[in-house]
Amino acid sequence: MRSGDAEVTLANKCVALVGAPNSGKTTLYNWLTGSRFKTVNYPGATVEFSLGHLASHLGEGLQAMDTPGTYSLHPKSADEWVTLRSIYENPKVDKIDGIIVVVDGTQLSRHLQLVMQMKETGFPMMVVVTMSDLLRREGVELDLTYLEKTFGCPVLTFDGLLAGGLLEIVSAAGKLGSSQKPSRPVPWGFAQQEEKLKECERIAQEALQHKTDHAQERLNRIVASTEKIDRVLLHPWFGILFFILIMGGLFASVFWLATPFMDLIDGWFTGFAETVAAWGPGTLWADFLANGVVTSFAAFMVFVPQIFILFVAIGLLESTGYLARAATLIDRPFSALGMSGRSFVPLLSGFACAVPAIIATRNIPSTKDRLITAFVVPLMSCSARLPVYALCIAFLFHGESALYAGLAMAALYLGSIVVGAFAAGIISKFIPRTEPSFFMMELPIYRRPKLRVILRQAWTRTLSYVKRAGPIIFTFAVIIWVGTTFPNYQTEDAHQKLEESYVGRAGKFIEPVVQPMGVDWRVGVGLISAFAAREVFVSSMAVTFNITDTDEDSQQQALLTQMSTATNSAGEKIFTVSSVIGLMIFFLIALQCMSTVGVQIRESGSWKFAMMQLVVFNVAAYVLVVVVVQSLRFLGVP
Amino acid sequence: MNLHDMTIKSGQSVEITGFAGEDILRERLHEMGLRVGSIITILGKAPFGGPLLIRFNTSFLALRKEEAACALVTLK
Repeated sequence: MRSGDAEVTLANKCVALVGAPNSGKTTLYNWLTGSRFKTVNYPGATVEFSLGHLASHLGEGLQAMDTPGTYSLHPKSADEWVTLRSIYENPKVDKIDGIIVVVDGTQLSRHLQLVMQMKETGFPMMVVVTMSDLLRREGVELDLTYLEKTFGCPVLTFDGLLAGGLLEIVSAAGKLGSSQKPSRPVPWGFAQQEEKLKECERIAQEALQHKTDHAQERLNRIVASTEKIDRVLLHPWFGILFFILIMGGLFASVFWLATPFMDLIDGWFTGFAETVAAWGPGTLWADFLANGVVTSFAAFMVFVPQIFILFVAIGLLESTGYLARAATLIDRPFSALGMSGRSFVPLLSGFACAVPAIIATRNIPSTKDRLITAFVVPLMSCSARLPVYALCIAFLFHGESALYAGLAMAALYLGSIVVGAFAAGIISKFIPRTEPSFFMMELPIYRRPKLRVILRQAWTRTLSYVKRAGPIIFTFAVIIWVGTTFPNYQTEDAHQKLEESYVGRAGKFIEPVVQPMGVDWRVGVGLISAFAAREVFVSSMAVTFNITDTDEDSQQQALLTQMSTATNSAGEKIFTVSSVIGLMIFFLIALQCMSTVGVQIRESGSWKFAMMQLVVFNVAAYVLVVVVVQSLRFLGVP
Repeated sequence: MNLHDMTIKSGQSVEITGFAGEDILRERLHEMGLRVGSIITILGKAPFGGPLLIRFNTSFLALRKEEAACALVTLK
């Protein structure tokens, strides 16, 4: 596998893969290209198509393009528009030389509509029937010669599990091509579409019956087993129970399974940063490399295990056919908030980390639903907030029953769900719906997952995260390093250095702003530096309140003691019940995470959206905190 | 009656007799393979009054009530 030479050139012949969602198109594409492809963002859209060379063992001279799933050439959603545009007016490819229409062998009659439409455009084309492994196992055979004759183009089968038929597909695709210019698809209209559908059903019947009399019966048997499983998994009661179990498992695995790997990466980078710092102790360049470059890389690389595990988990749910069912189960409550059932997985994974969760919103086809979901995701209390919550709760319930602390923590998580639902309800009123929200969701036949394909897909998606989000996160990190280091970088005393740094000055400058929150400039610095990552708040507090003990447990103990005695310039206590409650509310709502902002910019394709989110969340959090803190003080709470 | 009709129980089969409602929804129903004369088995409803679950031929579909209401049906 060579990924370095995935240069997109125009000299190659280019074939596009077109097919309905869940038709097995992307599986075929992954087998065709190996890892030699790159995803290309269609200008102005989140939806992307992929362009790639053939895997090296399959030969040269052919490029393949993957397009978003579409049911027809008369687009009804953003994704379907991208498919149409990527065939007719592709910004990266001079001309599409041929189309591979991918149809699911178990859904033949429905998927043949797209074959017919494509035929009418005059594109050089071929048909690939997927799920051939499943069909063969059940003894269902299709009359390919009959289909070839009917559509006047090559028809081949493909087995997604073992990649059977791949070489034949490549060879047939290489022969595609004609000089005539394909025309635009002409809409059929209702009456004609009825006829075409009938025709498709007839062709599918013939293709099955020409081989064996019982093919249809056997096909029905495959379907019957899916129906049996659905009786449990989509049951009004058991369905919900299994849903909670499965989603809980997904959440737990993203959260817990990733932790050792995250610690490993974190530890490795910490060690590396120390090594780098030792190259030139006390020098600015070593400090920049260690605390600027290495630490900032660590800041986003640490998410890689979570992202990978999340994509594997989603891949598993998707390829077995459960994801569509989960979305169906939860559609009603979500649609009341202006989203759809498909928003569920991204929101759930938001509790682990907003970064992979925002990337996961790509699976939502409707633009409006996707935007609302991406908007709300950062409100879910991510794992980075845990250290801050823990510190605040420890301060409030110091020496009291652990039950109160536990209840307070549960209230915070519940609070984030309530705030999220509230925000979704509001924002849905402001985002115009440019397209009807379809929930005509196809529930695919249950299948055994293809682990190899899932792992590879998860890997390429993770790699894409690193490549896309990396530069932005890195830039933010460098800015924060510069801000906390200069101008008095030679000062030995970390506390003094921070106080006199640009960030420290900014903290003092914003003191009038944070004062109504009941805190002073030092907490302000913590809030600013928490933008690098929320957990930085705790270590920033340690620096500003002059805690030198590095042992974690005693550090928190020492910090709690310092916090309880710290006073502002007027001699009043900074950390009181009201101000700490205020801080928790602030962390619950405010968007202070550069990784999230970076990914949001990339994924929404718009600075405006990310900046609006940043401003709205922070202003809302601030106003709410001020109101709460001042009200509490007015009521006599310290 | 239409597919959203409350009198249709799970396990029952219906035949599509026509389509009504927004063009875009009707067209999408066609694209999903539903046409006049299609025989549909009702599998049930998702919880909380969620989408309607149906099967026809070898396909399983979930339809929201707005979409289900576009398909006019008669009991089979």
